[in-house]
Amino acid sequence: MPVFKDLDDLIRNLIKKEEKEIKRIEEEIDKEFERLSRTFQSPLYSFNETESEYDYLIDLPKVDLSTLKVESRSQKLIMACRTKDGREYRLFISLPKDADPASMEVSRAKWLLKVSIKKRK
Amino acid sequence: MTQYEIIEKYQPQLSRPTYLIVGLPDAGLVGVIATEYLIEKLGLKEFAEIYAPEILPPISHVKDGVAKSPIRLYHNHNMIIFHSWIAIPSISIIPIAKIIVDVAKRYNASYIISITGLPIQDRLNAEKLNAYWIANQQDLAIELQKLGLMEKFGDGYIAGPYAPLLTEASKNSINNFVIVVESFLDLPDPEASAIALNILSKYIGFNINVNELLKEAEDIRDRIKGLMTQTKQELPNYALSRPMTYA
Repeated sequence: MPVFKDLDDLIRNLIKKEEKEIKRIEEEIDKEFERLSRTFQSPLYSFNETESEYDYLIDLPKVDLSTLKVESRSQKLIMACRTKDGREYRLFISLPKDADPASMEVSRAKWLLKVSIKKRK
Repeated sequence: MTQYEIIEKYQPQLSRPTYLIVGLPDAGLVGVIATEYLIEKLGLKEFAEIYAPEILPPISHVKDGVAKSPIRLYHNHNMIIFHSWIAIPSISIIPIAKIIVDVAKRYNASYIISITGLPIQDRLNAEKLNAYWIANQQDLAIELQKLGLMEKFGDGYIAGPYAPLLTEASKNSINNFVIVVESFLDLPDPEASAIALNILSKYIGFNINVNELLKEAEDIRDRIKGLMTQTKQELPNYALSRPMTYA
């Protein structure tokens, strides 16, 4: 453990280390997303932005809805599901910086899956 | 002058007037979903393929194990369908328009009818999809106005594969109109195709059950996912990132 004369220096150093670690983890996650995107089929999706939110319309023909998982992690929208004939769909979308993943709402609209994410104020 | 060949299996016998229906991939794949459905449900016969290696990517469409040109011609007694199974590269849309007009002249088609989508912002919540016509000649515009099957598009722009076709057909004194139905831009839209088919069937005078198209929509969307992906990449090149048809 290095020695610091100043407490402020110590804290700054610790924060710097943490930031480095977070960056490393983020890069690893990005690499993993890229790898998975190549392994699975990506569904078609459309993106629409309104004043207050971002909407993603995802077309999942023949989806088995019981296998559907949608989550947001590290400012990314992650969707995975299987089709009734056993194929696998995965989608990874980087969310805009002002998107608030905690506000994510998932619904069915016509034949599409709609994922709405509010903008941070 | 583009070098191309129409490789014919046989010369079809057609009654007059003959209609040439064009299904090229663009907004919502509205046109190709409609023409593919017509080919299947009306049992149209494939009689020719377009071989144009200078303007088309080196892709063959394999059907039942047999490789064919991705652009093929089908017919019944009074209709020819010009259907593309691949997205048309933006640099090829003018030569393709000229080829379509050549096909119309070769088979004495009186009308060229194109089908396309009009992307709208709130397509998801649209209760009713509006349909419009765009004509290439004043007399045809008057005829379409009188028929009242769709509204006049009014003022706006059309870009993409159907735009030069309107002009090419006009230059050659062939009637050409576009059936434009509100749709998604970058997701396949069988609902919009069903509306276009209803209009087309009334205009030409044939029966088609579009309820089946809606029932089969899931299979269709699954099958043409790749074509939509390819088309999505090409769409921005058609009109500098603008939608295909916009008012």
